[in-house]
Amino acid sequence: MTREQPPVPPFGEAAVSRVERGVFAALDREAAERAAGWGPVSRTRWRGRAVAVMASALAALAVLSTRHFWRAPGLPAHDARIATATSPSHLTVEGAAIDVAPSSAITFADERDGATVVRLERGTVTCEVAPRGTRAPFVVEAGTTRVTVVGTRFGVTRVGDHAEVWVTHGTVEVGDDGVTQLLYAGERYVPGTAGPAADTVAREAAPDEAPAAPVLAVASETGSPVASLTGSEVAREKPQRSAERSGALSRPRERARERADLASRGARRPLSLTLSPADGGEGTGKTSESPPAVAARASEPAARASEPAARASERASEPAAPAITSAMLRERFQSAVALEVRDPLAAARIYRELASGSGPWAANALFAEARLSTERGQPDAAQALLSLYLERFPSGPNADDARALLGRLRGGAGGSLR
Amino acid sequence: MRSVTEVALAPAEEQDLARACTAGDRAAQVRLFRLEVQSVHRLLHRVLGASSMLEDLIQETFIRVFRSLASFRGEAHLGTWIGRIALRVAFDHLRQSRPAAARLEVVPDLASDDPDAERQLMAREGLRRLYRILERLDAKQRIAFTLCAIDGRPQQEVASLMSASLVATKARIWRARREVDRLARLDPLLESLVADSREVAR
Repeated sequence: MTREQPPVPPFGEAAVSRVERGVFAALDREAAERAAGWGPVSRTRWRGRAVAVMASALAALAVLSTRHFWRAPGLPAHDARIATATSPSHLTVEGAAIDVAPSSAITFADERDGATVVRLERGTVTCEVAPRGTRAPFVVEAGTTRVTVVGTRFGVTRVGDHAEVWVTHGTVEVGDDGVTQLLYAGERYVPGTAGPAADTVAREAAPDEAPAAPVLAVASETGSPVASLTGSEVAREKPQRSAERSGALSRPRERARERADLASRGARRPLSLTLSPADGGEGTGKTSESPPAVAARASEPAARASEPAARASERASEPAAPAITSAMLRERFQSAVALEVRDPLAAARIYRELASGSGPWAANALFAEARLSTERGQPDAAQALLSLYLERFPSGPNADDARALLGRLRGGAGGSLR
Repeated sequence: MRSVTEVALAPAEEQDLARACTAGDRAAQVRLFRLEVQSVHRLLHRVLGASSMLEDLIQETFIRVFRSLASFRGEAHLGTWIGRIALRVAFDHLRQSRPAAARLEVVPDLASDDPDAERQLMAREGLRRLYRILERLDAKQRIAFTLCAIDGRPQQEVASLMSASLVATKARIWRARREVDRLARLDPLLESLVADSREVAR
């Protein structure tokens, strides 16, 4: 036959990528199925398995009355590891759809207390878990943080020995350093290393007509708390519930006692939320200087870099309407908190508007806008706002956080806090 | 001709890479995939011709590779080992189905430096008809024949890739060639091309 070798058409990058995605998606599915005990049974192993099943049937009868009997057939019986490189991966295990982000790794751990346990070694997973009903709990572990799912969509990002957790809808129970609390839709748990999460968040001052803005601590890369976050759903909570959480909890035993008390009353207590007492003197006393003057004293490059800050200072020159009450400001602030996830631009506008005023809500709003700018990847604007905050509220409730965050941004480690 | 692997790795590197892949290191798995995917594509294309199933078969090949990588002992090059798996995938595919004839538009151009456009056209059509004939061959004969006669691999290498003895491989190639010659005589275009190639071979 012919000696001429017909050329093979190139296998293009698009096709290579398609095949690559297919290969690794299939491998991930297989790994998940193996972890869940759903793996394909080869012909050669089927008889052995059948014998094993029959042999274990009597033993299974013995545990009919236990909850393990009612578990779905796919609980992890051995460690299986899934690691992603540049592409994300999606898999379904035990009624949970798990999205493994790029550069992440998870392990399906041995079952414990009948639970499906996913250990997050690094990176981020987002899980959508059907309501568990009679099934065993679904648990994500990341370092010391343990997230037990009731039925929800949530994400976990490994941060050192802890993890950040956020809930899109539903409820999860987050345990960290021996403290276990519930996290609701729109809320985010960010660990601090200074102690249990509830301790690390009792730092932001609120106006004198407490309750103030609910706050979650944000840890820096080194683990030290540097900023605060607010949960969108938290802002919508009724004042009565907020009041239940208003005290900063100093000792785990007290927190546990309060949790038990709340549980007995059917109340829910979101994780890491605290409503600190007002620091009105700090906030209001330092704002006697007119905001435009403060803005003028801000460093020139920072001011140039931050149009929002300039606009905020412009607005600050406008006299506040006398009819505005603290309650209205609080509601306005809370509406911005609620908007952060859905419409961060609108939230930033409200923060700016509040920051143009004076008093503790202005301080909170100014810091919140700086924090939001950081999260949105606008380090220059964030630096300008933080500088402005420190100018206006040098001893303000978030002054330490502002300095730490500013130092981090100037050190080039800026970026999203989340 | 480099048989399978695009970028040659030292045996120790191949072992390390295989171990990392077996341990679930996704970066290593991606590296191995990227190293070998073009070779697997070329091999399957030679055996099967232009086919809409190629991507699926390449995917199946790598799934099998990663499934069984723990059994790689380093007795052959990793590329050769993967090539065997690719041929097994091709063999299973040929046994299970009668693939449709190659579509004219996806059959690649032949020698682009050939000024004779008509000859190119005939060669392309001839290749399409050749693969149609190959569909009538036994799967093992077809694989051996395509690797040897179309891809130009030495019979010893074909035997190694097919995990067969050299004698068996020669027999398969001989039988396939005899059948192709017989069928080509029934097709005027193929007959002329085969005659041309005989002339060149002499």
